[in-house]
Amino acid sequence: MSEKKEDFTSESLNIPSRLFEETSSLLAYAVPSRRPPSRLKTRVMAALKPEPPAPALARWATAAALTVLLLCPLLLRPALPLSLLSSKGTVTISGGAVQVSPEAEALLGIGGRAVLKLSHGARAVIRRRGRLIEVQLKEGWALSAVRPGTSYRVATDFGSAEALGTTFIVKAENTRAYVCICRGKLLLSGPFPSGEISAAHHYDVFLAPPQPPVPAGATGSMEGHSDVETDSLNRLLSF
Amino acid sequence: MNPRGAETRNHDREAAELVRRVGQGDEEAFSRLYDLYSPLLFSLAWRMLGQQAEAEDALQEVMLHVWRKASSYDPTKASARTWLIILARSRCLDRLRRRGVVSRRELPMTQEAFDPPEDRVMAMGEMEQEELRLRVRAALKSLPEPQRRALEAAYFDDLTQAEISARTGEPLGTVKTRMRLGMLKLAELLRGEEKS
Repeated sequence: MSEKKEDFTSESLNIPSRLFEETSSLLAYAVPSRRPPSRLKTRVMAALKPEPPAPALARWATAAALTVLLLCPLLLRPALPLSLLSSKGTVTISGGAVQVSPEAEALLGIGGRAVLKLSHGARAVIRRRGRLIEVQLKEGWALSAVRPGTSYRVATDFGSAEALGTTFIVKAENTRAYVCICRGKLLLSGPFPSGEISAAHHYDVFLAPPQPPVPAGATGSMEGHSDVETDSLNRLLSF
Repeated sequence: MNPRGAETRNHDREAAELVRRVGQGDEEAFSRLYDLYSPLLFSLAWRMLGQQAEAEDALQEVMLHVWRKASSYDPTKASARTWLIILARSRCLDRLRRRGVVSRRELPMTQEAFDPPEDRVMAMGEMEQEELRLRVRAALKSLPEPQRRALEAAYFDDLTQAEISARTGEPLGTVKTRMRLGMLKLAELLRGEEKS
């Protein structure tokens, strides 16, 4: 913690404290207006409710049950083998959470089943749900090459793309997601009717619920990736 | 009476009432308070911290603090708006100081800050806030540039007067005088409009 002493205060500037506080707080209005993502309100509202107090015995039983529930998946299922194959710039990995700085890239191997390249300030959480490997992409780009037969999904706030033996890229934007199937087949799902898209050579769509996915067309064609990149990821699948 | 001043006071009264109800555990009031103030507090957090993810975390921390501590809010000491902003800035300063280094984006008050808001339909409370935003920007714009920059550096970037002095090469006394005059002028411009 810094020892720095703030001197932007009413005392230091010799201004009556109420006048100083009311006026300085108005400076907050000078910054460009940004709206927080709607999911944040859901998160905050969900955090309001405190746990109801439980009798001691019930608390003990609940804790024991929770421990068993939490430990069972760990005992019965091996941890998701996540390996950093290469990186450029600042990459932070904590458990299954990965964050890359805007100029950085991280190339991750996921249990020999998939190779994932995160870039453009990507934030993602990679976890296993039963047989499914799920990449929750909060921000940035995720280019995936997936071995056929692997249950693998990239989920965004606007829908998800599930691999059916494929190479594909997903970009999480502020109001929509961009998905490009580079080769193979993808299952798109979200708050819209699920459907498959397939391509031998790149086909891209935007997910902006509640509308069904719309072709990206000229505005999104081959955004953020190239054939060379997807080929190199596919080659890595044999690591 | 200036209608804009009256609107601002109505808005302040609504905010104070909402905080009072939040203090009694009223989730609906909390939801309304969040809708009214989260864009402002989030914008401030993003400006100070320079990262969306951290700004989101800071906003969540602030709003949960409001939920837990709203009953301790004293309307005789500060308006609800001021209380919320001070709380948000203080949380952001804590985060900046925990980082130890100034790795945040330093965004001077350039044209971007004065650009008009995007065109979209706004709710009543938002319109009042947007109007206040325009007034604050206009008032800031009318300050001499050195005064404005000194205030921004202190308020948003957590720079001390000595740090600003070192950065600008101006004597410490000059920096202090600029900040004081800037604050008084700003108070006069913004208060004068409400009182007229």
